[in-house]
Amino acid sequence: MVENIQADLNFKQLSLLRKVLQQKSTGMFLFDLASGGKGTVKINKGNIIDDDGAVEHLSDSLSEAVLRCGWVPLKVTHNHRELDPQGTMIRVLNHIHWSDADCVRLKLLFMKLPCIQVSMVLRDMKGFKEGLTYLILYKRSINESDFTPACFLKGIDDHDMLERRLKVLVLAYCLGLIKAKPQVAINPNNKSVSSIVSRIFQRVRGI
Amino acid sequence: MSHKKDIAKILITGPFNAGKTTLIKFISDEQTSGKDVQATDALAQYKSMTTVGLDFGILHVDDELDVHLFGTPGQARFNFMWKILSKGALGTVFLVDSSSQRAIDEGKLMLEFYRDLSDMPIIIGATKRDLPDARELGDLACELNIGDTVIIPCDPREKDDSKMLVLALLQEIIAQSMDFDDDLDL
Ligand SMILES: Nc1nc2c(ncn2[C@@H]2O[C@H](COP(=O)(O)OP(=O)(O)OP(=O)(O)O)[C@@H](O)[C@H]2O)c(=O)[nH]1
Ligand SMILES: [Mg+2]
Repeated sequence: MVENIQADLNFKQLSLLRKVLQQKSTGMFLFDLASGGKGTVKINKGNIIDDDGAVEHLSDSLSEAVLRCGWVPLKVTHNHRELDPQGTMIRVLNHIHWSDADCVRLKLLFMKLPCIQVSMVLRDMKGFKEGLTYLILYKRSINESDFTPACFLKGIDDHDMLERRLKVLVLAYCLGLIKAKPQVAINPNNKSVSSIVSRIFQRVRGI
Repeated sequence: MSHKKDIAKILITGPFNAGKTTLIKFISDEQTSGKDVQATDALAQYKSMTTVGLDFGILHVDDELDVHLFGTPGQARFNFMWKILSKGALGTVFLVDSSSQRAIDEGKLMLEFYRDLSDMPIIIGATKRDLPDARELGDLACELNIGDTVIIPCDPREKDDSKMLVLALLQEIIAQSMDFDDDLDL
């Protein structure tokens, strides 16, 4: 049974991929490509199961228009090798190329997101061609209040540069390295850790 | 009428010559440095001036709140100071000179020691990446055995980098103290 069916040509599979890479269950991410192809990627507690063509299928799902996609829960019974999602996504993204039209579609999707908080758990940046661009995303998210993906994409017209930034966003989005920024009330009478730390944060930002 | 301000504490630590004193200067409104004295022991071959005692800085946040920044001396034999100071601290910025094998070896031991002692949030700043012998970030992370700890390349001589390290630590602390709703659907 296929859940979460999406019928339009877009990158909606990213939302599902993000969810299934974050969850603790086991199952199969499956999709139909607009070109007629299909693919499946088995995922066990956020790790990608290394079976026939998993990496190629993941790559297809990120580089081609997806007609519909879904998630089917599975029981994993046999032994299998698991791939770490960060390294795998990096390998896949390093080799992907998006057309101008794809870039525009992706850009429009990311422009809709609200203020984000970015995590810096990319230890393996050496292997990621866009590691420096990731660092720019991270630094800007920390230094600028009200930082959104739109800020990161604004004014980027050059195809290569836009593609680089989009890869960084796709990686961070799918791996859950970007999250909607929580709103913390800055109030001197609120003695919770998050309130105190948020006040310090504002102050340091202003130095 | 005077009233008592709240005080939050942040520690800046790491092996010798990493940039700790430099960072505290940028982040403080008032600051007293431990004495930078001529290094005498085996350190002298790496560094001519080193901090003896604590670096201490105060950052005024608002009428109700100050931050105290403590720079603990950068040699493992002073770990006991970190142990004392870490009580009630929000977190630690741990700086390490990525171009010095001796600093990296020492850093690894210090990190182990800290992790055994407390689960206080730590972020690592990899400094001196502009120097010829600097390790790649990934290699440095391995050598230091950082696990899931965040590591960020930086040059504390740049004010923005010093700020970023402290902001990164604060963001980690906020993240740990909150639940996120995952509502980021595209
Ligand atoms: N090239 C380079 N120099 C740096 C960098 N960060 C700091 N320095 C320099 O390194 C020297 C040591 O910096 P300090 O701030 O004194 O280091 P420290 O950690 O306080 O040193 P100790 O007190 O001896 O443990 C200073 O001359 C800094 O200007 C960097 O990223 N690159
Ligand atoms: Mg010093």
